[in-house]
Amino acid sequence: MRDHSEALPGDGLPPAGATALVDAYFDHLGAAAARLRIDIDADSLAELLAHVEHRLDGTDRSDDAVRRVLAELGEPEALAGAYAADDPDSDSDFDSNFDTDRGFDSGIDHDGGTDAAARGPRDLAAGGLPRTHRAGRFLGVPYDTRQPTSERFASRSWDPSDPSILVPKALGIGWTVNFAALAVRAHLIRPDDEDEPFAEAPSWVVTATLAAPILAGVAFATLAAATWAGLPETVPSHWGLTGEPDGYSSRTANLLLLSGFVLLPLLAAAWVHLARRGAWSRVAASAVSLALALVALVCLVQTLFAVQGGAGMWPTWVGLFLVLVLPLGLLVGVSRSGRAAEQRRDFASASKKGSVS
Amino acid sequence: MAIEGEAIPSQLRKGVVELAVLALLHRGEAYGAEIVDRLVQYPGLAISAGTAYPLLNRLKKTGLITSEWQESPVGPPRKYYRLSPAGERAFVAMTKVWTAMSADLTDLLGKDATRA
Repeated sequence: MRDHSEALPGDGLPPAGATALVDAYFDHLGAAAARLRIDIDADSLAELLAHVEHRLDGTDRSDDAVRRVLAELGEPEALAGAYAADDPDSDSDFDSNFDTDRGFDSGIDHDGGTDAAARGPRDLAAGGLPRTHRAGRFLGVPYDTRQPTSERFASRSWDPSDPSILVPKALGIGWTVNFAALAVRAHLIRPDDEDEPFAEAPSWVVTATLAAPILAGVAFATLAAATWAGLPETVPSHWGLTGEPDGYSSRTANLLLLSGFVLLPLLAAAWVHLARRGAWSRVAASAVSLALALVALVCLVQTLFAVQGGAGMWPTWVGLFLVLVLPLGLLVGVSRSGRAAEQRRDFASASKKGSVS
Repeated sequence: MAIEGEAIPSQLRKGVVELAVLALLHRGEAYGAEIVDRLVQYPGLAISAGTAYPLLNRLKKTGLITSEWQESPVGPPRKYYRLSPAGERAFVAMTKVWTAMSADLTDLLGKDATRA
């Protein structure tokens, strides 16, 4: 068993019986923190231990006295929960579970925890598993290396209740576009149009969204097949700020790379649909896959344009506009369909009520 | 003034604004923009739409409020929010907590509050 007294700034060691109880409490706390995937840093633990010491001062340090003092701190699970709620790194997006009973005081009632948490997690001191920083911020730039889920992709690419247009990527480093925030700014939807995105939209509409990335993929394949034979061995694949090509690659490598950019997201989206995930996930998967297929299509068109002797990058600028607008249109369309279904439902129940009274 | 209100540490505001929204809905149902507009009349409680909608979303998920589309005499239909029975109970409980807290805090702040 670890010796917590090392962390104790004071001098008085509790007697053996008291130590065992205190040790058991802190082990319990460490395990609870590990379950919540947080570390309570060494300073906070020392502070807690010092508090226990201070309270025990002047008591007979009997087991009863120790139990009374520890009861004051509350159950280890509850205490770990309070540290977790104050942890700036704890992941609370999308599936944050909000406790109804504690709704009002949860923001206020963490005495003493805030300073400790603000100093940031240190080495593990609570006996839990080492904290894995799979997601967070580095130099202000968000990153996420956790196993991606269709739900996380969905809640990042379409979250009407979040007004931020740029949100942390679901996978990788940097930001991605929350299309719903764009739609709200453009007055295409209101943030509360749908209770849950796409949930009420007819299921055929949700399924049909997969046609969009498939069509984009077919357009890409058709264009590639029709032009590939006529391309030179090396093609421009990178452009400088001035619009002059400054990077070249083999046409085969270029085509393989772009095909992967079309196919992999499309397969992922198809899987999300076939696995019967929620409507939110399925529509968002279609839209993200459409956006990526369009990016590949734009790259191909820009390359063909340059090979034909076209100057500048206007195909790219037009293309990037479409990369934003077409998925946005798809998402807004399904959202409108869901809103209409909600309205039909509510108006129908209202008229039913009206006819009864 | 409203912008100053937004800058107050969010932890403190979060619970208070939640109670404000429940209080507003306790007086009667309201739609999203209406809630924002009515709270603007109280500069200390004013919230942006960007704060209001996530809050409404959360209250709805936890079952404290319900929503329903209603035809509007002017313009498109509106989504109205009202307190659920659980929301009414939460409102009563939170009001008690708030009353006790604000009396104690006013006492604790004492002269500091008037000087600041």
